[in-house]
Amino acid sequence: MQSTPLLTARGLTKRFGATKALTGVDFDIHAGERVAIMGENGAGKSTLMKLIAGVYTPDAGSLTLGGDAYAPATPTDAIRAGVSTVYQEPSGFSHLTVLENLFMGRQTTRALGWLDKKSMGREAGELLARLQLPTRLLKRRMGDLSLADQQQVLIARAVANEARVLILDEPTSILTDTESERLFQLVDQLSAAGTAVCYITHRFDELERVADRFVVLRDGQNSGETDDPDREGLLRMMGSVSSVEVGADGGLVATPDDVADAAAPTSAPVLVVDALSSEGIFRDISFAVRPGQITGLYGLVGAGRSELALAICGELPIDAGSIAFQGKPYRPHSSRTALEQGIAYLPEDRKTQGIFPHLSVGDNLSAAALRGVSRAGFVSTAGERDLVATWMDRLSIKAETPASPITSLSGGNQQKVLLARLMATNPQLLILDEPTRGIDVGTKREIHRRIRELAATGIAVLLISSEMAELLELSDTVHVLHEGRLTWSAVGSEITETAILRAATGAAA
Amino acid sequence: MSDVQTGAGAASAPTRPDTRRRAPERMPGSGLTRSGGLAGLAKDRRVVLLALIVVAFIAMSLISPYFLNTANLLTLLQYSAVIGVLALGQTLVILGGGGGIDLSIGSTLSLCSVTFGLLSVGGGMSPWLAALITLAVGAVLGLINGLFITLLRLPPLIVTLGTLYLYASAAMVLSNGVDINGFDRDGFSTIGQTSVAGIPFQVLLVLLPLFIVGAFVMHRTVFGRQVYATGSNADAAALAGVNVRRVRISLYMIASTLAAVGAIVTASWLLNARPAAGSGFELQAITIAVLGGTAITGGVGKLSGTFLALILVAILNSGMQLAGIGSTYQIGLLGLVLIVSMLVRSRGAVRETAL
Amino acid sequence: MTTLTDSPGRGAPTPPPAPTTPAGGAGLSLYRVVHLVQVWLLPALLVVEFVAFSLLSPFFLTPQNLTNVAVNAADLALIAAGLTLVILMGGIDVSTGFAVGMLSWVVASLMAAGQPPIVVFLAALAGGAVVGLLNGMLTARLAIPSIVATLGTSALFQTGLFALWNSRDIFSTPVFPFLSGGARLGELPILVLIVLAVYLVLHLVLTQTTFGRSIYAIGSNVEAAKLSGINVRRVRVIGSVILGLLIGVAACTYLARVGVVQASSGGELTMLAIASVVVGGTSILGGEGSVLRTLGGVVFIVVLDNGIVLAGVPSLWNGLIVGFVILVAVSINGLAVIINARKKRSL
Repeated sequence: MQSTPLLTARGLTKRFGATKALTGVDFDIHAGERVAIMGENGAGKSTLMKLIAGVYTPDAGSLTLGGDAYAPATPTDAIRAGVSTVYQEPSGFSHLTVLENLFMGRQTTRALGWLDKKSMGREAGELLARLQLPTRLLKRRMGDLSLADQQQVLIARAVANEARVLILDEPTSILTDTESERLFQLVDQLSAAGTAVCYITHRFDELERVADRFVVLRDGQNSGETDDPDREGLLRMMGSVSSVEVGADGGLVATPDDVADAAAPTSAPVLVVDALSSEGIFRDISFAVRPGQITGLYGLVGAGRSELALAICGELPIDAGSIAFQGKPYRPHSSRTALEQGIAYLPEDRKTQGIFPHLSVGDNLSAAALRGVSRAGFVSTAGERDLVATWMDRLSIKAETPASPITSLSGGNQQKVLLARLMATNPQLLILDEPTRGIDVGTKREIHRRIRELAATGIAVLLISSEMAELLELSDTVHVLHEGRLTWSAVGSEITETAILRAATGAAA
Repeated sequence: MSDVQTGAGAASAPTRPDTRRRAPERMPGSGLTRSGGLAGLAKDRRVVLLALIVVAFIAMSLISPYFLNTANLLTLLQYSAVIGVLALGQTLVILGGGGGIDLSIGSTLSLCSVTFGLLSVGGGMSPWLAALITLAVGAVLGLINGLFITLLRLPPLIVTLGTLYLYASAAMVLSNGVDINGFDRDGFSTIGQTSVAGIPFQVLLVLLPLFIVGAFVMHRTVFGRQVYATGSNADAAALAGVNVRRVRISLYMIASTLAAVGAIVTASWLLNARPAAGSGFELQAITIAVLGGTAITGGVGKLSGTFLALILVAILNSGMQLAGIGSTYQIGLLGLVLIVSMLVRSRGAVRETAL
Repeated sequence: MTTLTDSPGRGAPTPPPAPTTPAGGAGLSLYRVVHLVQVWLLPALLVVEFVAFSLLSPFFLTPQNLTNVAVNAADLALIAAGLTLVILMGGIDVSTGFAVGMLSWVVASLMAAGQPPIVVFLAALAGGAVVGLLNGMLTARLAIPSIVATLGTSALFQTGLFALWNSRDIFSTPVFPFLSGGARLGELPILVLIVLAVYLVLHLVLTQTTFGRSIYAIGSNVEAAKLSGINVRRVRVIGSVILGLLIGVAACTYLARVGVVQASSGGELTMLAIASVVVGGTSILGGEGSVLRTLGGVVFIVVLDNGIVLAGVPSLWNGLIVGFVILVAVSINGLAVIINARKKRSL
């Protein structure tokens, strides 16, 4: 391996509104090297990669590629310079063939733009053969392929684009073990040929196989790097700063909490999930959620957490098992009926699934609870006004007035509005999916406090989170999902970061 | 982060000349968003329209001495009654989002016209009974649109294109291609011919009430809020407890029923039912809706805006008529107005990807 | 119920092996059936049509009738071919009919003024190019949704035609004899050959050139198209211009067919063109389809019109059948999409 890095980043800083996603991050990668970028959710991994891929431009800092200054203004610039990215969700041209996907934008042509299909076919055949991919893929329609195959095609495309640096964003989250192994072999080939490969991953069990070096980010800053895939060491570097304590093993532990102590395990559970399965997604899940308690659900990307929540809400089909809600058998039809019955779900992606971007703060807040303030279908202005005012006050939502557009609020306040929207329906069970993702630290803490207060009023809370600190701080009980199965549960002081990560990555406890 | 769409801003000016024409909307939580001061005023589509109406009014009265003639103004209103209810329906359909549009309302009007004619003249029914049945027919025609679009997840553009054909030729087939005359003048006099205090029946008791009720429903009822929510973000609406499918089907049914109303009004006024009565109306309806500030992607738009756009278009039409410019020119003007109004939006607001 | 998009990435830690396209699939799954229907619907419709009408009328399957139909279908066919390009990219154009009308007025006037045919023809092409440029600029450059933009230009063209017409019908002879059914190669009208040639050229362009493939790319995934370095704006405008040029030619053939320009000439062509594309099976959402399919759609619609008349069915029923067929064709495609999505989810 050469001593001069192929790609270097110095002092990269990126801010989104009030949130500091990256501060002064340095990064190197050499030709032929495989580097894994690791960190908790929100640590800045994806932001770093997007800066390198030209999706964002840095507020400060610089990049060099092959010794020259490198400042891609758009993703296309990056691709042309030799930096290709394959994202988690393959996005090619699903209506077109693999061959076309490989060559789109750089086809071999004869005169007048006439495609030289024979020579492209030959070139593609050679490429696939070199990468040990089946050449019969070429004629297939991209959209008909499995996601794993589509991913391979996109990587092949990157190679065809003469990528010097290949960025892979959580590639194995959608793959089976066999498919993952195929991916690793492909990556081995690429790095042997001199391509630098950046890997964003959560999966500890693949670490050794995947990378030569491990770079860890924490809270938007460098937290260290090592060649040693020692899990404990990496976990320590990943652990985020928060109000939770550090345990004996260097990992974080849950803080003793009044609410947790006052938890009454004797009260009847609001939700009982028994041997729930959804084919191909999760299997044989059983747990209970009790009123007044916060039950945390942890798992790596792809473990099936959101899917579980969606299944409980009726948005995903259930193939086996049963659910009991408030002691009675419960067959979920849709999130709408779930809400009517008292199960409220706060979706992961507030931009696409949560807010009504054209409407005001007040409208967004009252959207689900209008029936409560209306009679015979007519909304009571006074009733609505009070509802909005009450909840804006209760959750300290900072907005100029209730009539301000929702888009004028910070991410954190928007999230509070969404939370208020659900709370206004007086649910018995509140399912929160990554409630503080992409929110600044201050508002995060505020929201955590509110969640605890809500639980204290007797609501059962199911908290899905991949942010360790958040989980530790809030949960009375933690269940861990690993590849679709519930592998570990703990209560109270048993809950430690190390133990959770171990369970989530599939290591023996 | 999306910008606030122009057209959704509320005037922060506390006073407005009060005419019967507008439903005042200044309540919090009524789908209003606010931008401050004079800039906010300018951004509100309705204020711009109001200004244009004043300008157009003055211009037309200068151009033609007959413009301010009461009879002329009344004819103006009468004409707008029909296109107005169609524009109202179209606004609702577009508000519901998901590419919502209804190309078939013109044909729906034709078919309902023929139905009404056949029932009252051919069937000898009392006009009120015939009207009732026609409304029901209108609702069914809209239901067909709604079902194809929501259940089969088909693009509204294509579905309503198909029903445009279907309904238009059904009208032709049922009427055998000929106008239906012989409406009993007395029976229809109420709907078509009377005026109250000088204002034609169809304006006072059809157009205005429908707009006022419509505006009220959109801002003060659960259903209305659900429409805005669905148009703004259908996924989020579903998670917030809205039955998106039912909302959208309802919108198409409402639009078609309003087209039926338009058919009844026209037939009563002209005392005949023409099988091509509604031909070409969809362009006008869409233009007026978009001009009034309705975003083609849904979630943004006010009925009051549509109403003001209607008035503006009616004034322009009337002026052109008086200046001896034929009705076809009005179509061209409408097209120009449509394009210009889209250009103005494209400037400051969110970039919608071209369909 | 709206489907909450379930990001496929999070779906399958241990999924069963993804089913390959049922090319060699065993058994007749619903997916397979719908897929088959999608592919074979159009040919089946055509066969049924021909069979039905030849049974209903002895005049149907005669060479004279068929060549007549083919010649009369020329303008529709030309428009539909160009429209396919626009629809493949995910757009639409509802101004084609009145554009033809307006341009045919220009052509007729120039002919009446004694201009040499070649000049007239070039003027028609130039006019068509301007029309295409206008629509292209509005949609691609100014980002106005194509349905709204073309509704606007349709109105402008309609008024333009009306203004130019000025209560005076203009009669005209064909610009070139080959533009009517007159000039023949043996029994076959040259016009038909020209139309077929146009389709062939477009088909080759769409399947064998970078430009053509970029049209599909834009319709399939416009973001990925941009990332691939495709100049989306330029391709869209060029597509519109091609449609415009074909509209120019169609104006000449329309005039040759009808012989006169009136107040609302051409208006009926708009929806027929869209119907041809849709019935042909090209997806209105873009990314898939072909001009050959559109040709099939054109044949279906013009034969329908002709057959109905010959069979003695009142022509008023025409619209009913066309509308019905549009809905059926689109519904089948719609069902296929839904079933496909359900299949993917179970991966």
